[in-house]
Amino acid sequence: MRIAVIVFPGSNCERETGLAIQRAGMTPVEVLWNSPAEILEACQGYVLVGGFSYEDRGRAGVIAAHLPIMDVIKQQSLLGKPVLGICNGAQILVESGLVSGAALTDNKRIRNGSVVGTGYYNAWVYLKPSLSGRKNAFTRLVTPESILKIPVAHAEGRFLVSEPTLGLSTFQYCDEHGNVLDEFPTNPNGSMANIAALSNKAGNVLAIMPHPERASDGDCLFESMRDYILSESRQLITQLIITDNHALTLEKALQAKGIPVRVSRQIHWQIDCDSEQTFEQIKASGVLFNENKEQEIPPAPLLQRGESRTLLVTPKEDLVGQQKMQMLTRHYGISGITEIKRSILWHIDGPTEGLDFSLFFNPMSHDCTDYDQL
Amino acid sequence: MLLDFSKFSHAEIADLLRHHCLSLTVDEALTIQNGILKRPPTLTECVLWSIQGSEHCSYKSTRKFLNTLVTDGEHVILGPKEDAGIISVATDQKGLRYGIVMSHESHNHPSQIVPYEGAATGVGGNIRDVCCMGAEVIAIADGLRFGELSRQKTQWIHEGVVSGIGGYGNPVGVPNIAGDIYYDKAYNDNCLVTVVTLGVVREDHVIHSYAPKNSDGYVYILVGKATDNSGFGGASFASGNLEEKNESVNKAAVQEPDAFLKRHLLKANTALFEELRNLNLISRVGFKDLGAGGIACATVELADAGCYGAEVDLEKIPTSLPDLPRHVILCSETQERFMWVVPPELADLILTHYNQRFALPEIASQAQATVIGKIRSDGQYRVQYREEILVDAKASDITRGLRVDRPLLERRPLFADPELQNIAPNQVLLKLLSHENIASRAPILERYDKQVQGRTLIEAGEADAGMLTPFNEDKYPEEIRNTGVALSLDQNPRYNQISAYWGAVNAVVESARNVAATGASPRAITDCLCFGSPENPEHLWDFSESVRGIGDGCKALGVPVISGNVSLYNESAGQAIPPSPMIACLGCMPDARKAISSSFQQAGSHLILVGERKDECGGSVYYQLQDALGTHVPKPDLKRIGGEIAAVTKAIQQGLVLSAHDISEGGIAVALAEMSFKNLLGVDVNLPFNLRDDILLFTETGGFILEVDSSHIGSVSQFLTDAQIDFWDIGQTTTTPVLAMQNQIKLSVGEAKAAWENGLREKLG
Repeated sequence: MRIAVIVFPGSNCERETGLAIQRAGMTPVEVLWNSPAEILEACQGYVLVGGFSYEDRGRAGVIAAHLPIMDVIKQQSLLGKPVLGICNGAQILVESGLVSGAALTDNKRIRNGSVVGTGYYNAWVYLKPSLSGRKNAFTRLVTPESILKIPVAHAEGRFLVSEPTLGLSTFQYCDEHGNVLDEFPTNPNGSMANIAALSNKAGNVLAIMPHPERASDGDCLFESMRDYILSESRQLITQLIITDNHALTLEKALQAKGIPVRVSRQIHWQIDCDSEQTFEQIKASGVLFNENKEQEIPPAPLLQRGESRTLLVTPKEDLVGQQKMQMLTRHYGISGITEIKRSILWHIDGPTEGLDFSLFFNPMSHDCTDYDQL
Repeated sequence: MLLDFSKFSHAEIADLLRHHCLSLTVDEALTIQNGILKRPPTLTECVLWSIQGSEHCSYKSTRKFLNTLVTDGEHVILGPKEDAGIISVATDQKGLRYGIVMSHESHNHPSQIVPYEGAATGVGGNIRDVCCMGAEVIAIADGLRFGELSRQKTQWIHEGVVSGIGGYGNPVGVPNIAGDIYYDKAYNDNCLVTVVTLGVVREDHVIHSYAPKNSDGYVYILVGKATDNSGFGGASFASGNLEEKNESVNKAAVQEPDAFLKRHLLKANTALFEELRNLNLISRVGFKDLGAGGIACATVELADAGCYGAEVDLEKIPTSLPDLPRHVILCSETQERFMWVVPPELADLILTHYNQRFALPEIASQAQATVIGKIRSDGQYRVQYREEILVDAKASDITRGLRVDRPLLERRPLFADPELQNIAPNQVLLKLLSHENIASRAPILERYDKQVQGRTLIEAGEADAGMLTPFNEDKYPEEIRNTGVALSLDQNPRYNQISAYWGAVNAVVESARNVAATGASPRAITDCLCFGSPENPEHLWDFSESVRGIGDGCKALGVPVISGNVSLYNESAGQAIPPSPMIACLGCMPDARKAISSSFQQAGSHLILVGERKDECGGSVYYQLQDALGTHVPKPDLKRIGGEIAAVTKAIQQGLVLSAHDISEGGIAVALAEMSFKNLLGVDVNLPFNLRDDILLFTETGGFILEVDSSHIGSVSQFLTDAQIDFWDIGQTTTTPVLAMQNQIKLSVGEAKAAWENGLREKLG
């Protein structure tokens, strides 16, 4: 199981991160920021290590966040692969939007009304899983009552998050007994709601400010990552080669309203299965798509560019997915499938301002998310 | 430009030298023209000799003393000959030795003037010294001396220096594992910023700082930042007197740190070392950092150390400022640069490695690797800019530098022992614990990264020494993976004011006791010798006494001095710093899982005192509370110290000791208190010595306190008895968090801890 250890100019925690990945039974592969995409695509997971990419110039993580390699990592994350950003890696994930709705800014250390220090701070702190947080790729093996003792080492680690993002808090700073106290030094940087780690909505991308790779207490995050990869959700996106009348008709309807957009449609399959081989067997079966009229595509063209937008529309009750799973298991003898979910991706190219999204989904029966924000 | 000194009078020559900012004496200028070159020198040649002839580069006043130190021994892989020393700390089953590379340098003058940049580039230069030996850089430590904290200037320097060390060390990705700090008015106008860097390298992977055998025609490749005028004259600046009024001139010597580029260069270098090892080319290359004297010193030293000459084409050197004077391009101390000397057929591989794979030009403006010259077999060193010859001299004449024999005069300090006032011992202990020279270093340590790289086992502040496990990964043979390496820095300014000799002995012995208290056996010493002007016979006498003390201390311990540097002229307005032999001791232990901290582990343990209490309060913090220095400094028994340390480390390595702490500043009372803080355990102690109670509790005679479980008392006693070491079972640890000593002190651990935790923090801005 190959995990890419992403190193930007100025990153410096690749050694201890590699050791932690090894301890969890995975193989670290150091990948420099300017390496070809194929090297990354061949990995099953990604860790953006700590350090000082571009020496925090501008603000921590902002330069690295805009490098081409982050597009590749984003595409891979949309395939369901796990991405962990530690410290400066967390700052890069937040700046690049892989973990959205948050900022990481200057530490705030105030005690009894006085500033007790500014800037970089290195000390041991305690973390516990956030009550609101759902289990994600990095907490599968973390028990709710766990208290982890691991170090922080940063100058810009104070999480500020928007209200709806609070629910994605994954770890909180606490004292050694697990009390979440919003005071220094329990909360070492003044983070909102004591947030120490924040995930994306899908739960496969995690931005964590403390350093789990530096302490044995943090090993459970890496073991969770391995467990997640072993039972990973895999994504398959297909698109019609022949005319897609659904897309064309919706496009026409919009144009008639004076909204000059182009619409395309893809089928998005989320497949939970036990291995890469099972996944390949499913694809080869022809049950999910017919190679003569449909093709598998990478997520890249669907990412937000300019004025384009991609919506992921999922039925609240997905009978098609269930039926496909039954068929694969019963008639094709493929074992090791836990779940198959079918959604539609609507890619809308053009100015979407004032657009009525009810054309694309009915909230009573379907959920809709921006694909970029997954 | 030629400077024909024969045409001028002495006074005119002196003016000329001043005009060109050359730190040469008139005699030295005449020696260059009449004795060495036998023709008028060029300006560039004068600059080159002023640097190579400086105290910093040539040890011209100090060499004869330094030559008395023992620098070799069975574990020494490389003594103080190249950019850093190397000591073996582990041997694998194949018999291959693994070395710790050590460099120890000061950056005092620059830190006084531009504290952030001075301290940062001090760290940077030291890291380069270690890296260029083919090593992976694994730790730094800092020994700092500041003036009184009540002065605004001290606070300003302090803030800049600590920020600079963190601001460079943290991004560069090297943990800070040890260090020491003293505040003393003797450093009001001359702070000391000294740095120790450690690296790790297998013996057969060492890259030397000289052109290898048969290297005629090998090319020089300059790597790193484009050359500018920053830090021009750094070496001669470091060897000059610091006059505050010249601050604007001094600023020309400011070196500009770029930790980001350095981190990237370290990464690129390490990757290139691995590639060269795979190609079996390590012995066919030379590598050196660019420090004092820049390109000139790096190229000429690489060449001459291999008995070659060299030629450098100045036009090929990338510069980031237009119209730099030629001698500035050649000698500026622009940071973040290295120099390779390699076979010509290897040049493409190296250029591609830095310029494409690690994309240097994208990382910093005009940073790159470039071929700038080559080795000559005739021993001549020539630097050329288009048609103009800037330097044409024998390489060996340049590197030999200049020599000087200066007079000594014994310094006889006039200090008296004080009439001691009676202060309640509880109050004394609280004052000592909150004293800036004793209180918790957390306000400083929390600003340094102590864990990066994942090798740190004991952090700075947790024990008397920091400890690393350098080989804790599967690329090293299994049998050496648990090796522990401990580091401690020491020098007590107040002892040194009383006696340069005993000050130095104590620095060596205490640093050794510190590493021993974690369980590591002392293996090597480095010395960074900071003194006043050698032109003052008393200061030079202090220097000689200090070296004698280091030598005696090292002999007693059986450890060599493997690296060091000399920093002179640490004085302002005729006021010099105290003798400051800044000592670092490296220790090692085969199984770091047996290492211990200085915090009590349990109640009911026996407390074993090693080291008789004597009336040796001279230089103590207790006397400082009474505004006195005193005369009787601790005088370690050099006949016994080796055995004492061997017995203590043996007991710890066998797992018989729960925690250990050396006795130093504040005496046994402070040592016991410090051990109680982490786990909030108390002590109940009685000291069977015939001394006044206050002296007994606060004298700084060296020694150890060992926490021993009652089941191991027999074995520990036996070890100490076998080694003929005196020891006393002085009491026990208690569940009740109270410090009870000698019916004199009865203090809650909580109150004592608060004094210790807040003592320094409250005095810092």
